[in-house]
Amino acid sequence: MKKPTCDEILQMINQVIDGELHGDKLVEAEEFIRQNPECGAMFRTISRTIDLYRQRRQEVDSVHVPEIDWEALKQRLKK
Amino acid sequence: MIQPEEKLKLTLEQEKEKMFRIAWKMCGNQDEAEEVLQETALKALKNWNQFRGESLVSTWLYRIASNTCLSRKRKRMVHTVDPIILEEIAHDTEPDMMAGDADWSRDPLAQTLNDELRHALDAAIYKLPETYRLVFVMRDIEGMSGEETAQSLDISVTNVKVRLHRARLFLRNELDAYIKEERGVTS
Repeated sequence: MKKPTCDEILQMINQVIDGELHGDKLVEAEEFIRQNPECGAMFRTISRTIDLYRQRRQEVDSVHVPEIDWEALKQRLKK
Repeated sequence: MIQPEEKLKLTLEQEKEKMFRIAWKMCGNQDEAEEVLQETALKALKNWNQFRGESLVSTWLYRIASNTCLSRKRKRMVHTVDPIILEEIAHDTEPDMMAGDADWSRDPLAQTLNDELRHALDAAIYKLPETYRLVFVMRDIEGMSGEETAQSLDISVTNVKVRLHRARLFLRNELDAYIKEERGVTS
């Protein structure tokens, strides 16, 4: 079996993260990631990076989102 | 029957929180994110008669918002935000932003590490070119679909994937030291 290139491995890791692989292809990719420590580390660290940014987002969630003043905007448009 | 202008208002009211967060991540501060939100609403009202209905109203609004963010950045001719300024912004907004965060440690040492990580996350994302940052924020942080992101940015789904994968790899490399340290602490 032909050894996958780094780009192919990265693409596969991203497809797993994005939930784009299903059935046998997903099982095969997960097995590949499990058996290759470097790929496993890459998969975990990319996933963790995304998790960290989602956690950071929650901090912004607690900030009040301003109201849109439609009447004022209409007045500005008239000018 | 909902009037067309009412539909626009309803959609913007429904999407404004997500739009506000995206604008915040793009602009780097709350004040400018507020301005982008108002400017988006104004442009949408002004150009509503040009909306052809070829996409969802929300997608059209995201396109206006992202273009507004990008054009404001270009006007200022600032391509990256100084990490020192980011640090000041983070400290200015910390008390409210952290209220009610159950995971936040009370241990002063852990607090310092968390502050460091937070600043590292901000510094890393602001190093990304805006077009990559927008895709990362829309897809991975806000959970928008590839198609929705592509339509909002007027690029192909393939282009969204390419930018997203590059952005993820860049951020992962930038945060490598922190993630290693984190794993070292927990293992």
